[in-house]
Amino acid sequence: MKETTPIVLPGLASEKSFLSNGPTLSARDDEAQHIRQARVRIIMGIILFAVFSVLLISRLAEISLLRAPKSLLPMVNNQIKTRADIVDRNGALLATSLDTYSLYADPRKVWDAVASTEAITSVLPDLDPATLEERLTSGKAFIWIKRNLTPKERQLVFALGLPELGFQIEPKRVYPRGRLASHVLGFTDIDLNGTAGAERAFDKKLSAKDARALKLSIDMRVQFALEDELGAGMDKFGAKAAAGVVLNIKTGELLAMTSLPDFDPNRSGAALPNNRLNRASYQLYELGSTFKPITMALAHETGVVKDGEKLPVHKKIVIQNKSIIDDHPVYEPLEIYDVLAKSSNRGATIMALRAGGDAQQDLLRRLGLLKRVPMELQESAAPLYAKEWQDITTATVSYGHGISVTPLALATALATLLNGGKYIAPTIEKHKIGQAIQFRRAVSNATSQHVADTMRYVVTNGTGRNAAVSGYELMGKTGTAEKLVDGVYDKKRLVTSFVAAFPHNDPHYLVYVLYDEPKAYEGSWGYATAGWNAAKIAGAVVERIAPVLGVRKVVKTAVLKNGKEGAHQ
Amino acid sequence: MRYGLTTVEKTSRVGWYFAMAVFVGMLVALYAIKAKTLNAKTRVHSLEQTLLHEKQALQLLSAEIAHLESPERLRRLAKEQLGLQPTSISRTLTLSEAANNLARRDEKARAVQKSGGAQ
Repeated sequence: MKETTPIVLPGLASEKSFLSNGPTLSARDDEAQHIRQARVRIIMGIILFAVFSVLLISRLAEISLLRAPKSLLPMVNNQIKTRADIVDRNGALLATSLDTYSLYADPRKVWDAVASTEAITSVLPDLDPATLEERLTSGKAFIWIKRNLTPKERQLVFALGLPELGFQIEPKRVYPRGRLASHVLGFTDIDLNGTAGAERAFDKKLSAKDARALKLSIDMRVQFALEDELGAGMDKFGAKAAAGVVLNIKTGELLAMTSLPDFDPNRSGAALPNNRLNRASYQLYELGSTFKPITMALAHETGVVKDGEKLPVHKKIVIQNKSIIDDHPVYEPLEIYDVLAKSSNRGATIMALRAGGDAQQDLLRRLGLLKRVPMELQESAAPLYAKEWQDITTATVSYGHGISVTPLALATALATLLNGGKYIAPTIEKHKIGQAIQFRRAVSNATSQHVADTMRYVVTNGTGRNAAVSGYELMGKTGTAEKLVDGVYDKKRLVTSFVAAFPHNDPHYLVYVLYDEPKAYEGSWGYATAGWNAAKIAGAVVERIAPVLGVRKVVKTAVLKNGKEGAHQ
Repeated sequence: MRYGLTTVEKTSRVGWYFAMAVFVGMLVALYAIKAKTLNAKTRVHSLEQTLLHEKQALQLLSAEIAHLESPERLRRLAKEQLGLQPTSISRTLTLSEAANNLARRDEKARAVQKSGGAQ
């Protein structure tokens, strides 16, 4: 039963009024009840509103006062990978990273894949339409369309106005000098990881945060002169390949290193494996007579040849049924200087056999020729030689056969023989001022002087005359080796090389030049031996780089048979 | 019956108003500082972006310069435009060579003079 509310008549204020004993009239008052209910609702509404307002104000306060602002430009990728520049020893830029735009798509936003494909390929014609359409309909959230766009390409794509496309800033490795020093610099992959050359060797250093530019020991001017002369020679001699090294023999710093054919590191992916091969440090060759200065050093170190003694090179030498033959026949005994000047295989054999195989191996080990060259580049090959060192091995190795080493390995060994006898590991990183040079003694100073004198005599009186450069007291040695094809030495396929060092009075620089399968040319009288190609080019390289390197020209030079200067300056 | 507030009540109410005013003032100040900081951050970001762009532009210019002064390009231009080629060592002279040459020339001149005088 519904409860009734008593109605108090006006004048009858309450039951407890002065008329309290009188009759009361009770009646239902719906209106008052409604008013009360409405009041409750209003109060509830006010409470809800207040709570909502408090929440809103708290949230506003939290957002405006307490929360740190988010990135102002969330569309920009702020985490761009960086890589330090590479410069030459004089600070000339060789490799840098530039920011480029890479194009990506969100296939989920593609409205019409065919139309999008048509539009994109109209501005990027190198893309395959079928592949692109397939990828645009893949339903993935992200696909790369093309990376490292040129500014023009980016503008054209931008003008398409397709909502599914977007750009991401990505750094690209750029080599502004093109092919120059490509084998030394190497290259990176698209994600900027070093994959060859210095880029690989110094990958950690280059990709470190806030890394400074890497200073290589390479001198851009010397590198260019070497590449230029070597390339011109390669065209002239019709050679299959060429390699060259310029070494500072006092510090071990490589001033230049090249291998031809070369490649453009800006388009390393398009380069043939043959072009990417660094022949100077990663290709093994039997280098022939350029090994003979080592045999001269061996003879001097072991004292197996007396002063003024003449070696019987005119007589036949047969070892294990194999006859040792001289390319330049000699019909009389030769002194040690003439053995080198006439590049006598028999003379070298006699000296090596007298010293013995053990002493020979020991010297080769000290000169670093029985191990890979310990340098920063990964592209450094270990030598190949007979496991069992027999007399025939001693004989053939004495004139550069039966052992395969890289041109850089031999250049380093010969540098050791010419710098006073100190083995210094080659490096492609520039030495800091005052930096101590690590070395180990390989031969005596007297032996070093002896080798320098004999090599000087080769240029003034022997097979290296074509390399002579007036005023720079060149020392040198030719090397012509037949290539081993299917186990047989092929007389028509030669590897010719020339080692040049200068100046004779204080050897400082070494140039090593090699040609793979050079041919005879007009004016070479049908010869394709080292004296007619590698020696000439080595001389031309010295002529160009000596003034650049600040080597003082000697005015007058007359060399006597004993290798001593008659008069100079 | 009470007609007004006691002194204690008055003081506490004034204190409450004052505290509220301080609180609101602090809120406003905090908001202002926050807004100012945000503006400053925006400016720093903008400056950083400008710096980055300038650095990129500089790097691009360095690369362009390196490309323009690459030896291969300069040699080609020197050869095509000026007909230049690498200097031969025979075309260079040291000071002592020059002095020798001068002495030799003087000697020749003296000899010629002598022979002329004899005739």
